[in-house]
Amino acid sequence: MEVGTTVKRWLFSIALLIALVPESAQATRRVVGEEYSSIKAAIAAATAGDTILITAGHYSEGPIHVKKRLTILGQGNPVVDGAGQTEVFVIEADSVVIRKIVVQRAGVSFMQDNAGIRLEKVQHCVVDSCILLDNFFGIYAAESAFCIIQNNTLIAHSVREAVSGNGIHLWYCKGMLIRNNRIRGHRDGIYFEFVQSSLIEHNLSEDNLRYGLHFMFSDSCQYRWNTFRRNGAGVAVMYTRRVLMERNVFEYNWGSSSYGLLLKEISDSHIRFNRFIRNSEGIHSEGSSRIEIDSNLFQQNGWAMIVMANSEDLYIHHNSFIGNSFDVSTNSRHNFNRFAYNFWDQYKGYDLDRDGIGDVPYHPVRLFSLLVQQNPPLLILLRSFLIDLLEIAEQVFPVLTPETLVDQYPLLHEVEF
Amino acid sequence: MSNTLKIAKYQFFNVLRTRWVFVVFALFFFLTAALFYFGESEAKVLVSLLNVTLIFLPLLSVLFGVFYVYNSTSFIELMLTQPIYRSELYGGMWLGIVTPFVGSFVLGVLLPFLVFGSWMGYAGAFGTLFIVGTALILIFLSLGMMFAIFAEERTVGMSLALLLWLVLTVVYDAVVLYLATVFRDYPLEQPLIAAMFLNPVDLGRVALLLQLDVSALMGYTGAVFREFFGTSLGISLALVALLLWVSIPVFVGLKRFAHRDF
Repeated sequence: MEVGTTVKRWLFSIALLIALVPESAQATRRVVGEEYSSIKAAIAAATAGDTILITAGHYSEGPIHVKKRLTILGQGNPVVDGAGQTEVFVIEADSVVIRKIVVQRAGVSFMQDNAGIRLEKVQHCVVDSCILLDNFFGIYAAESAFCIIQNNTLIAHSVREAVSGNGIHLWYCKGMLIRNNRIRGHRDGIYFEFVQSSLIEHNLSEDNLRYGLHFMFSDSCQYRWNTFRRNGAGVAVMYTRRVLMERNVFEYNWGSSSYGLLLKEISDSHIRFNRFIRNSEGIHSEGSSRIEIDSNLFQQNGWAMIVMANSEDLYIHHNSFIGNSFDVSTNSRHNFNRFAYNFWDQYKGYDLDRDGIGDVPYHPVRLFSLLVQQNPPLLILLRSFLIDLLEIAEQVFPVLTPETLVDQYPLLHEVEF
Repeated sequence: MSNTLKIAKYQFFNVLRTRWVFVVFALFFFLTAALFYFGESEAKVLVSLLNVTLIFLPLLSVLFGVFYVYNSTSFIELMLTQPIYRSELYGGMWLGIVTPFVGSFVLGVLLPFLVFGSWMGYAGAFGTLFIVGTALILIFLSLGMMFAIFAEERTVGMSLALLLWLVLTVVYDAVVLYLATVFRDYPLEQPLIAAMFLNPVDLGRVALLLQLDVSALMGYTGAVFREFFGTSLGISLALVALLLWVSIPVFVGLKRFAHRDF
C-alpha cells in the first residue's frame, strides 16, 4: 500500500521539477571561469532561480554552501576539489539542481561526516550525472525529502573501514529516489538509516569494504534492478518493515560473514525475482517474520539460505536452487517457516502423475550442513563418500535434521522468470 | 631399458585384449555423454564424475592390478627364464598396465566433453579431474600389483585390496570425522589438512572441491583450506604427496618381486 503512495510522491516531485525548469532557463546565467573566478563568488552574486555554469577547470574551494535555489551545471567536467581537508558542496536550499560536476577529495574527518555533496534539510533537490572521486562520504543526505540522486559515479579507494565513509548516505529522509548510480570502493555503497518510502533502483554497488547496501530502520522502501557485487559483507537489511526487494543481483560476496542478503529483524516484506550467485551465503535470515521469498534464483552459493530458528512465517516458494554446496541450513530441529513449490537440483524423487510436482517431499537441510555448523573445519569432508552414506541413513531415519523443514511439493523443472 | 619397453608394449596390447579397459572407457564415456545429453550443466556433470572418479575408479584399478598379476603368473615364470632383470620385467608390466587404463579414463571423459561441453570456465576443473583420476589409477594399480606380489594366495590378495579400498574411501573419513568431533574444541584446520595428505582419495577430493565449491570454501575455515591448497606451495606439496603414493607401492612391490620365489 504505502509503497504505491511513495511512487506517486516522487513522480509528483519530478513533475514539480519539470515545472521549475523553464523558469530557471529564463533566469540569469552566471559563468564561473569567465565572469567569476570562483564558484563561491558566483553563488554570492546569484539570486534564487539563477544558473551557475562552471566551465572546465580545477577549483580548489573549501566548503561551498548553497543557500539559494540555484541550478549548478558543469561544462567540460570541471573539477571541484576539497583537497582532502573540507567538505565540498553543502546544499541548504530546496530545489537545488547540481549536475555534471566532478567533486573530489572531501577530507577524512573523525569529527564530522565530510561529504562530496551534502544535502542538509532540503526538499526537491537533484544530484545528477556527477562524478565523485575519493571523497570521505560521497553524497550525504540528512533530514531531506523528495530528492533525486541519479546517474552519478562514486569511486573511492578505501582500505580501512574506520577511515572511510559511505558512497550514498541517507539519514532521516523520505521519498528519495536513488537511481542508476555506480558506487565502488567506499565503506558501504548505499547507506539507509531512518529513511522512509524511498526507492533504490538500477544501481551498481561493488567492491565496497563493508556492505553494498546497508539498510536500517527504513520502513516501506523498495529496491530493485540493482547489482551488488564483491562487497566485503554483501547486503544487510535490518530492523525494518515492509521492504520490497526485487530483480536485484547479489553476486560474488565471499567471506566468513559475507552474505548475499542478510535479513535481520525484517518483517512483512517481499523478496522476489532476485538472483543470488556465488555468495558464501545467499540469504541469511535472523529474527525475521512474515516474509515472502519467491521466484528467486540461487546458484552456486556455499549456502543458498540459512534460516535461523528465530525466523517465523517465512514463505519460500517457486525458487530455483541450482549447484549450491548446501541448499538450506538452520540451527534447530524446530521450524516455523514454509517451503513449497521450489526447484531443487539435488532432488532425487519421481513424478508418476506427471503434474510437474515431485511425489516425494524434499528435505533441503542436510545432516552434513548441521555438522559443519557445529564444527566448521569439518567442511573439508564435503562430498566425501562417507558423508553421502550418512546422508542416506539420515534421510531414512531423520534424527538430527528438522523433520518439518520440508518442501512437500518440489518442482521437477527450474522456475522460469 | 629397451627390454622394459618391449614388455610394456606386449602388456599394453595384452591389457587391451581384456575387457577391463573398455569397461573403464565405456563407464566414463557413456556417463559423461549421458549427463551432457540430458542437459546437465558442466558443474553438475563434474559433481557426478567426481563421485565415480573417487570411488569406482580406485576400486576397478586396485582389483585389476591384483587380478592381472595373478593371471600373469605363468607369463612371469616364462619371462624369468629369459636373461632380463626382474626390475625390467616389473617396470614393463607396470607401464603396460597403467598406460591403457589412464588412456581409457582420459579419453572416456574428454571425448564427450569436447563434443558437448564448453571449455569456458571449466577447463581448470576438468584439468584437475584428469590429474586426480590419473593419480588414483596409478596409485591403486600399483597397490593392487603390490598386494598380488606379496600374497601368494589369490583370495588373500583380493581381500587385502578390497579392504584397502574400503579403508581409504570410507573408514578413513569416518575416523577423521570421529576425531574431529572429539577434538572439536581445538583448532583443527592444520591437523585436518595433514590428514588429507595421508589419504590419496581425500587429497583428490579436496583438489576437486577447490574447483567446485569455492563459495562454501570462502567462509572462515574454508579460507584457511583455500589459502593452503590454493597456493603454489600447497599444490606442489599435494603433487609430491600423490607421487609418493605412487612410488612407495611401486618400490615396495619391486623389492618383493626381486626376491620372490616363483
